[in-house]
Amino acid sequence: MSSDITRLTLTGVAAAIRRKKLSSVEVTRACIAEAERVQPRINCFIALEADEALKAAKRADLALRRGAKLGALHGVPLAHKDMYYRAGMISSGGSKILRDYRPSVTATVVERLYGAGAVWLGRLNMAEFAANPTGHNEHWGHCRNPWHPDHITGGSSSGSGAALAARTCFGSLGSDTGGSVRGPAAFCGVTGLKPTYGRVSRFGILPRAWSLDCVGPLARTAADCARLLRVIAGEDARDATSAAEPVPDYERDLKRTIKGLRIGVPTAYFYDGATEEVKAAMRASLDVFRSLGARVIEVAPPDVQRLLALGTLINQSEASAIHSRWMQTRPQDYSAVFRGRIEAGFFVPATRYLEAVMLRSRLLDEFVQAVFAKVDLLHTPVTPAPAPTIAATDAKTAGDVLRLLGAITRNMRPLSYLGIPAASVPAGFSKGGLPLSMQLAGRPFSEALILRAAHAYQSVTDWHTRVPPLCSD
Amino acid sequence: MREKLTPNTIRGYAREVANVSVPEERAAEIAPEVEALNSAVLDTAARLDLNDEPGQFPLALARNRYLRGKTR
Repeated sequence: MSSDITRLTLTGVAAAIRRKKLSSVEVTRACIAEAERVQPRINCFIALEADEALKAAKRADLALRRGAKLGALHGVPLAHKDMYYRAGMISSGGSKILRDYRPSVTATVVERLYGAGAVWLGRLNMAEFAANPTGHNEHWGHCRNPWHPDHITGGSSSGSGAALAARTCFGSLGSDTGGSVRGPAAFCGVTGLKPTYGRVSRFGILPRAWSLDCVGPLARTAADCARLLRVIAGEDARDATSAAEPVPDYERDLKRTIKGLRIGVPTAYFYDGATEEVKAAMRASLDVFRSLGARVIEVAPPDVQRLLALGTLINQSEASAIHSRWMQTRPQDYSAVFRGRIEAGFFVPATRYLEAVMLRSRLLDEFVQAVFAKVDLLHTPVTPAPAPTIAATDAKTAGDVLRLLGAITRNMRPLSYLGIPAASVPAGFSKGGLPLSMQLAGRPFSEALILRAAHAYQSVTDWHTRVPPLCSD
Repeated sequence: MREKLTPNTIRGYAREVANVSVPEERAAEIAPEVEALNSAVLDTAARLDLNDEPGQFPLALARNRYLRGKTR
């Protein structure tokens, strides 16, 4: 049955293809069948490229039969937020303005994924220009949560979260400027990682805010994210901000113990407004870590609210510069929600913007000293509540946008300002059947440790293996 | 003492500098938002040193990887 195939993990299906237990064509057909079945209900794809995907799968199977050298993702179908450029192919950015945009370059991460043998399944839904934390999109239709289609997916990588939860693909690239990987991963019950700023090349992706944008993987497990990150991470001469730090073998590191790991629980900010269900899920997840030999320690993060404001100022200033020309000439082609996200940036003086950028180094030093001198990882809820309904979050005014933003992304954006890595890991369900997730953050370039802790947690829990009812209909 | 940022200032700046159109009711929403963002920076900027510069952030990321000379 195709659902037996699509319920495998990325690493599981890659191994099955490599051992010739499954062909890439079988796997790709199964994904296409699932995608076609769920698309009318959750609208996770902007374009399902079935014919091209099957051709690529056939080439992958032929290469395997010929004994060719295989990459780490050989024959595995992936689909991505519609903002990863392929030369000559449409990349809409979830917008009306770029509906027919065909970039002239291919993103470095796309080259790396497909150089490793992956099969491109299609372009996924996303928030307009990656600028909405809910998953609403008035140009391409709202993306809907596979766990309950009346609820939001989170954004801006809405299609990535939904497509993975609905078992239509095995991995996906999102992008995270202020929570756009972690939010959809949390609301859809999959695993997502925002790497350290500079860990993954940004060349050839639609910009949202250059100083904050991070390319990150979403998949169903931490081990799957480790595989994807290993492929895409590393220095890139075409991205001036990419880091020269060596790329560890993230998968090998998963096997190490977390005994003695110090997990920090914040004494302030991150639990403000959290529901009792979320608090209970977080307590239970900490108990799991204790049972695995970790120590749970309280820490006091310094002035997180300020980090949130400074990150927002950078985000809005850079976005207003990116969109300045079209905001002058085609304002009617943006949604009101998008305009509300960036307009304040036009009125921030360059002096204040540069000060906010300069302060990052000092505030990172302070945060690391206050938190990561005492603990190895910081543990928080990703969001204070499970995914709200689409109706309740349908912003009509810019003021609505700000209120929604505050509620959904408040635990993620401060960490984006600091540039540190953070993962969203499924950690339970609400009474209404919606996923609840924890955020694990670490020092710069500590992705291996974050993934190891998440993997250890997933080795003794099953939240990440649960399948939305939609997949069994 | 800082004066309150007004919707009129926003509308004037929008017309005269930013070259974008901002309706009156929207200017009333933007003014407090911008004021809050600017204040957050102004209240923190005293910590900056003459030799701080924007391009230092990647170095800060790199040095904070090696807290206390070891990684787990």
